Amino acid sequence: MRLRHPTNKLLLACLAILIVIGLGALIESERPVWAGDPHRPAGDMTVFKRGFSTFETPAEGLTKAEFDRHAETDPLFEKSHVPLDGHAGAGLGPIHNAKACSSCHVLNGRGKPIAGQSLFRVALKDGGGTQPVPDIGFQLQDKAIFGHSPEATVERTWIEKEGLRELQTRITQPDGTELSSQTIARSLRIAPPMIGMGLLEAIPESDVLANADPDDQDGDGISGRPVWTIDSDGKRKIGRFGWKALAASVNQQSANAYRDDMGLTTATGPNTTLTVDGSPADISWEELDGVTYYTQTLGAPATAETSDSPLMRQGSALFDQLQCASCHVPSHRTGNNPNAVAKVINNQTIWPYTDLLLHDMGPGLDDGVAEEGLSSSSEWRTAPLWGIGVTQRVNRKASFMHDGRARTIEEAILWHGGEADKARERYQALPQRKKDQLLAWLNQL
Amino acid sequence: MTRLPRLVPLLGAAAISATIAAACTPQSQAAPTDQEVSSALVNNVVLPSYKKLVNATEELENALGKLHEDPTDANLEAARKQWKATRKTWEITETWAYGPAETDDFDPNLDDWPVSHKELAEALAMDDFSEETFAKLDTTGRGFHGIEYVLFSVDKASDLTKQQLDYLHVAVEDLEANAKGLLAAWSGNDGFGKADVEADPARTVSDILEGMTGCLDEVANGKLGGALEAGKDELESTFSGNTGADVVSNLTGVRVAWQDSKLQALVKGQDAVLAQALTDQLNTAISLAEALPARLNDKLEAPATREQIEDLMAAIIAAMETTESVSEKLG
Repeated sequence: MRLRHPTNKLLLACLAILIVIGLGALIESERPVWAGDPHRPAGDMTVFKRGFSTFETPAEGLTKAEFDRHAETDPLFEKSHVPLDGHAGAGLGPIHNAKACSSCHVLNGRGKPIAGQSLFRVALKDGGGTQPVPDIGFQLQDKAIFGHSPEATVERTWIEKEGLRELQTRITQPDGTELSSQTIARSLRIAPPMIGMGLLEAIPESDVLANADPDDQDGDGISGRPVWTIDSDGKRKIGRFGWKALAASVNQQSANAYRDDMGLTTATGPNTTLTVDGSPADISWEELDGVTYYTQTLGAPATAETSDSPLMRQGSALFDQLQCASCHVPSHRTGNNPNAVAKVINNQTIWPYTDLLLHDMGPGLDDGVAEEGLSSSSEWRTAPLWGIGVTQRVNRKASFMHDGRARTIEEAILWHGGEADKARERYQALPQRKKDQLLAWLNQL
Repeated sequence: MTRLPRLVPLLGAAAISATIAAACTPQSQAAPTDQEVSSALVNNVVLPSYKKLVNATEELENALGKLHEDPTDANLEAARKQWKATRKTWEITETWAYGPAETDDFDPNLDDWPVSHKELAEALAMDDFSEETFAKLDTTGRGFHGIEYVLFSVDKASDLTKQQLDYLHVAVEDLEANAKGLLAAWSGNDGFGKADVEADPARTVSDILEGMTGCLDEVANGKLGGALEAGKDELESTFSGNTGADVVSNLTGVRVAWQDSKLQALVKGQDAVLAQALTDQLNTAISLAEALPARLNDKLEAPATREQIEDLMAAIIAAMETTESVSEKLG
């Protein structure tokens, strides 16, 4: 077609600009933000199932021998521990929070914020939450075996406030003394789901550090700070597991849970039956290694939508545009470890939506417990989001955030503050249709 | 895991002959919908089963009350018989333990295992056994197995101490309260049955199949496989010698979930051969379980018993694999 009038040329030029801008916007809103296949969040270990037993399902891709070992070690996770004869304090307790891993990790998923499925971390407010409470320490054991007293009992009351809820607690010691909330900080913790931990462990440390920006040198308001800790093998490593990333490995996280949550000491290696302080261990190395193996060989569920679905494209684009993805880093690549407990853990592109780093989440999530100074009280590890849409399918009243205060994923978004203030504000400014898109996308993870 | 294919060819042949017959049978009824399966699961399977459990715990409370008042051998025997009858009503529900039984802690309160011998011994050595004493026991000192441990620990009723009788009295009240709590959690408009299961019928089919697979796996590889490897102390219900009956009840529950929820009919509408194969395999497994010797734990070392258990495990695993095939078939 020939353009005979200059006005037409001008119109065409404007149209061309509009097309370019429009296409750009379209591409911006629907671009494949991250390469790969987010439908398979655990790569070859993805579990293609989204029912109540999803989190308990062994990872895909295990060899026959690996699958058999997973099945053999599975009962260790469900084993109810009891006090035993033998050395002093043998077996469960004497004080503890739970008697089995599965007591809190219900069906391998999140626990509810109720007694028996959650616990309290505590600290003195003086000193910024870095000091333990005398005679209690950093964790309140609210159960005890027969003949012993728990450290305290906790009364929990949820207070509704502008559509959200906050926890108020009364902690009473056996002699009737109440722990003052003026002087003692308390942080309720629910158990997170047990999925994909072998894969998170396999992300190279250099890749985790590549996302760290502790002094926010790029000025985007997002920092990301690694926790450096001493792993059970004595080496200095980045913490990856737990709400505050205090454990560097699944082995260490398991040993910590045995010790702090169940009052069970663990052997320090395959050739000893002793703990680190030289006393007889309640849990043999074989058992600790077994429960570690079981955990490492759990996968993560496939998303409900396939990677090329409109919802997947729109949701992930929104997630990116709101800058949720700055901390909930969508995708990582696992390393190649010749000693990996299962071959399929190596060289996987995974979609956990976490950077495994600590971020300041603002005063709303600051409950005053700073975990021995390894984190500040307002810092939390970016929680992985894979499988989040299956949470209430596994445990229908399970809730979100470290203390289960958020009853829905949207409430969890609204609790984001600090470094996530702007992301939350952007979410709140979205039209309802866009909010629904984002929530639908999150619910299919 | 198990490695027992000895009986599998036999089971396969039985399944094939039965499935040929099934394939030749005209289908006169339309397959049920997901909603019908969902409603049937709640109203024909789960709620009636928990009502039976509640009734049975009430009868156990009566039986233990009589024993408490008059500890004769006849009352001891009646209480033991009622414990086994009550146990049956619980074990049959294993397939639909998902939901409140698992997530609201009714399962550990009713049926934790193993028993905490040390704590129970200390509690029962107190001068008095009161409700306050009982409250200090965790779930490993309560529930079916706590009661079983005490009730089957003596040769005759006169050997039961006052503390043991008091314990039984308190423990059965707790058992009954938990059974009622579980029934309540599934009941009513806000209960798990209506508010969750019936409200989302598309999920029911996969839930039932997952529950069936989980129960079959637990029986074959957990209860039986664990006992073969570790010995009789690993057998649940070892004190009463009721393990074999537990297994029969577990497997019967799988069949109830399969048939009475109308899932079998739904699958038959899509693949009559597969549906019949699973029905036949479940029947075979139940028959083999019923043939296990009474007081299985005492005969665990006998080669013939071990062979029976291995055959049963193979039959259960065959049924489990077919259940997984059904899951794949239905997508």
